[in-house]
Amino acid sequence: MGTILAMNLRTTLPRIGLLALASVLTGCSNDPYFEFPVQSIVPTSLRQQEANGEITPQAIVQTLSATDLPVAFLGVPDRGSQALLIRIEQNGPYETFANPDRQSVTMRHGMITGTRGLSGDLMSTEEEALLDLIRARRAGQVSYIQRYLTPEDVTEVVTYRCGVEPDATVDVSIGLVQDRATEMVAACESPDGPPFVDYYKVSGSGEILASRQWLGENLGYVAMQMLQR
Amino acid sequence: MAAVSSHRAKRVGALATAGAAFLLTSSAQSETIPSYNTYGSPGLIDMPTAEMAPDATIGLTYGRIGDSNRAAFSFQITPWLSGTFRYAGIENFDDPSSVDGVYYDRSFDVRVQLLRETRLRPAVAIGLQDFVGTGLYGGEYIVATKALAPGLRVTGGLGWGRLGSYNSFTTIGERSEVILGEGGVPTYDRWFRGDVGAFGGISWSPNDKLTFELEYSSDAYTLESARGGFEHKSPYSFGAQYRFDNDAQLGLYYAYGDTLGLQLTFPTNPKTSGIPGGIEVAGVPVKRRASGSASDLGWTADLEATERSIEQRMTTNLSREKLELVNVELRPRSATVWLRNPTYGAPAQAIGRTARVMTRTLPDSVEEFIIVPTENGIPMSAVTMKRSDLEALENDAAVEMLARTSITDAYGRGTPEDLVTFPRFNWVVAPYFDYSGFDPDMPLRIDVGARVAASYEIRRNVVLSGELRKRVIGNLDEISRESESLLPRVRTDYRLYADEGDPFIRYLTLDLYGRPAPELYSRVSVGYLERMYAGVSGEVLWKPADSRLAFGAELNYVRRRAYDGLFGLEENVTVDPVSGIEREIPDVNGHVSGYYAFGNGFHGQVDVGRYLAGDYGATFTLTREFANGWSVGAFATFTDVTEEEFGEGSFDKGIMLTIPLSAGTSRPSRTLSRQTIRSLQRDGGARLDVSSRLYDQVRTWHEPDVSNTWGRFWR
Repeated sequence: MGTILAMNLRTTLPRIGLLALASVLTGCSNDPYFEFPVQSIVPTSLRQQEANGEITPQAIVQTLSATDLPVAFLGVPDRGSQALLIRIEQNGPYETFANPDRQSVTMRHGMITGTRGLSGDLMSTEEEALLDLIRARRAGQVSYIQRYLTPEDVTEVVTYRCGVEPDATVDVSIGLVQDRATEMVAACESPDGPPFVDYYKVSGSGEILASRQWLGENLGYVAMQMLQR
Repeated sequence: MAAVSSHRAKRVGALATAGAAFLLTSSAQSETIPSYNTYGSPGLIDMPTAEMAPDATIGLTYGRIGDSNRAAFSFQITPWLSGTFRYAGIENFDDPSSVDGVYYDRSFDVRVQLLRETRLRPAVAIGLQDFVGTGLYGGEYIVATKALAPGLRVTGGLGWGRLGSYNSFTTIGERSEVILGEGGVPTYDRWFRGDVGAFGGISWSPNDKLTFELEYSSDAYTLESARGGFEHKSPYSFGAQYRFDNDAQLGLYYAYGDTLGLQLTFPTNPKTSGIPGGIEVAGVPVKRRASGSASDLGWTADLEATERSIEQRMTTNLSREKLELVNVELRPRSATVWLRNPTYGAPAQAIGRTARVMTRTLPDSVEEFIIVPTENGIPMSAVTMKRSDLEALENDAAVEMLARTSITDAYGRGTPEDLVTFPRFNWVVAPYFDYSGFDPDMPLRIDVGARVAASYEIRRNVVLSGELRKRVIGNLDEISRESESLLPRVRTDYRLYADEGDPFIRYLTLDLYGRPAPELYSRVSVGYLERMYAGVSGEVLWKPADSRLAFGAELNYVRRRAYDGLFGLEENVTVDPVSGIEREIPDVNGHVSGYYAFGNGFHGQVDVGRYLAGDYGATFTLTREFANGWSVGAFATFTDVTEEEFGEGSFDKGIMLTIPLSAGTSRPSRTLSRQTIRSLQRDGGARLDVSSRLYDQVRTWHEPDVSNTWGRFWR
C-alpha cells in the first residue's frame, strides 16, 4: 500500500500542478457568466462553428412525423449550412420558425422578414408592397427596405426599388407540401447595397412555398422550402 | 433551389451586367485604407500625403528608416481629423540621454483635411508633426494629393521644420530652437516658421495588393547625420508595398540613396470590424395575447400563488437569456421586473430580451411593463413600455419601439426584497498581464501571472471585493531608473511597488452603494483602494435619467500602502532617492466632475480638484465612443504645479483605448479592456485610481446610452 501510495503521490502531485496551471491559463470561476478574456485573442474566424451539414431525407421524415406544426427547410449556400426549422410562435401574420440551436427565422406568408442567431442577421424589413405583388402574382414596381446591424451596432437601412414579374406555373411537391405554384421574380436595386434577384414560388392562396431570398451581404442568398404547412 | 436558380440564369443575364456595373461604381466609392508611411500616418515612404483613413480607423505601425525605429498608434478621430502617437528609438545616436546608443523619443501628430478630393480638385491637408515636446521630428506641412488615373496618385507639398530642412527655397519668419517648459508643451512658437522645402511623390497600384512608391523628401535628416550613422545621399526614396487580405500592409523601401526602410501597419476599425449583430443565439419571440384576453383578471384572485409561479418561470426563462431576475412585482395591469445583466454590453439588448420573456410569462391583463435594471443592488432607471406596443412592433424598425419607451429615474422604485439570498460569493481565477512602457532602459516591460478575484455580496448594495495577483513571469520588477521628483512621490515610487509586490493585493474594498435622493447616486469605499493607496473614498453623482449631462463629487482620505502590496500601511511621507528630501502626501484629495455626452459618440469630462500630491487643477478628457463598446480618448491635466516642478513632460497627459471583449468573441459581453497610455507618469496631476466610480455604471441604463444601443433591442 505504502509504495503504491507514494507512487501515486509522485504522479498525482505533478498532475495536480498541471491541472492548477491549466486552470490558471484557461481561467475558471464559480460565476456562470464568467468569460475568459483570452478568447478575444483567438480570432472568431478560427472558432466559428462548422457548417451544420446536409439535412438528410431521414431527418426530414423524422421531423415531419414528430410534429404537426409547420416546418421549413433553410439553406445558406455561402456557408454550406442547412437547417430544419419548426414554427414556434405566431404574431399576427408573422410566423417565427426555429431550431434547437436557437436560430430563428421570421416569415410573413413565407417571405423572410427577419433572422436571429444566424450571425449577420436581417433585423427587419418593410415588405408590405413587395409581398402584396408577390402574393397577388402580379407585375409591378415597388420599394422594399431591409435593416441590418453594422459591426458598430448601428442600424443600417437599405432601401431597394424592386421590379416584380410573374413567370411560369409549376407543380410543387416538397415534403408534405403539394400544390400548383406561380414563380415570381423580384429584381431589386439600391444606391446603398448590391443588387439582387429573388425567386418565389407562390401558391394559389398566396402562400410562398419556396424561395431564394437575398438576406444581405453576410448571409447572401438563402433558400427556403416549406415542408409542412 | 439550385434548379430554380440555374434555369433562371439566362433571364438574369441582363440584370447581372447592370449589377456588375453598379458594383464597380460602388467599390470605387467605397473607402479604402490609404498607404501608411514610416511615421505611421497615411503617406508615401517618409513624407505625408493629404489622404485620410476611413473614419474611426485605428492604425498600429512599425516603421524603420536606417537606424530610426518608429512605433505608432494613429486614430482617424473624425473623417477630416487624424492624430498619431509615436515612440521612436534611434540607434547609434550620440546624445547624453541615449541608453546603449539608443535615443528614445515620444511624439504626437495631428492632421486636418481642408479639402476633400473631387473629380477635378486634389485633397488638401495641413498637419503638425511632433508638435508637442522636444520636437525631434517637429515639422509642419501643407500637402495636396490627387488621383490622376485609377491606381495612380500624385502628391506635392510644402514643409517647415524637419520637412523644410533639405533644399529649402525660401524662409518665412524665424523658427525657435528653445524647448518650451520641460518638454511636453505644444511648440507653437515654431509652427510654419523658418525654412520652407518642397516634397512630393507618386504612388501606383497596378492592383489592390501592390503599390509602388517614389518620393522626393524635403527632410535632410540633419540630426541623424550629425549624431548618428545616417548618410543622406539622395532626396529620392522608392519601394513597394504589399497589402494582405486583412488590410495589413508591408512596405519595403530603398531610402535616401543609402539605406533601407520598412513599414508594417495593422489597421482596424471599430465601425467595421467584427461580425455584424454578433453570433449569439436568438432571443425568444414575443407572445401575442389572444384578442379579448387582456380583460381577464381571474388570476388576481390568488395573486400570491400566481406571483410565486411567475417568479419561478421568469427566473428560468431569463437565465436562458443569461439574465438574472432580482424580483418581480405583479399588479392587475402592470408588472415591475428588477433585473441584473451580467451578459449584454448593449443595455438595450438586455432590456429587449427581458421584455420578450415578460410577454411570455405574465398574465394577459398586464399591459404595462416596467423593467428596473440594477447595478450593485441599486435601481439605475425604470424602463417603461406597453405590452401591446411590443406585440405590434416586433417586426418593425427598432426605433418604433424606442419612440414608445420611456426611461425615467428609478428613485424610490427599489425592490422590497431580492429573490436570491445573501450573502453571495463569486470568485474567479484567471491570468493577467501588466506592462510598463517608455523606460529607455527597456521600452516595454511585461508581467504575466495569475489573479484571483472574489466578491462577497453581504447585502444587495454592500459588496466586499478584492483581487490578489501573483507574477509567473515578467520583468516589471527590474525597473532601476530613478529620477528626482520635486513633489511628494505619489506615483514615481511605482518601481518599488513593482519590485517588492509579489504576490500583491491589487485592491480589497468594502463598497456601499446608495440612492440618497432623486437623480442622486452614492458610493462609499473603504479599504485598499488601489495598488499604492488605502483609505476611504466617498462619491456622489447627479444624473437625471434623460440627461446628457451629469455632475459628480468625490472626496478621498488616503494612506500610502506598503511597497510589498500586502496589508501594511506607511506614513504619508516619501523620501526622494536622489535629493533625500522628505515630502508629505496630503491625507485628503478629491474632485468635482462634469460629464457631457455631445452626441455623435463624442463624450467629454472635466475633473476639477485636488490631486494626490496636493496640487490643485483640472483634467480634461475627450473620448470618442462607439455603440459596440470601443472607445478612443485623450486627456490632459493642468495643475498649479509648475513645469519645472512637474519635470519631464511638463504636465500629465495620455491616450486611452477601450476594446470590448465582444470584439474578439462576437458574443455579448460587458467586459471591457481599458488601457491608458501615458508617455510619462510623474507626480503632478496624479489622481487616485478608484475602480468602482459611479458614472459608467449609472449612465449605462440612462436614456442616451440605451438609445445608442437600441438597434440591439430586438437582437
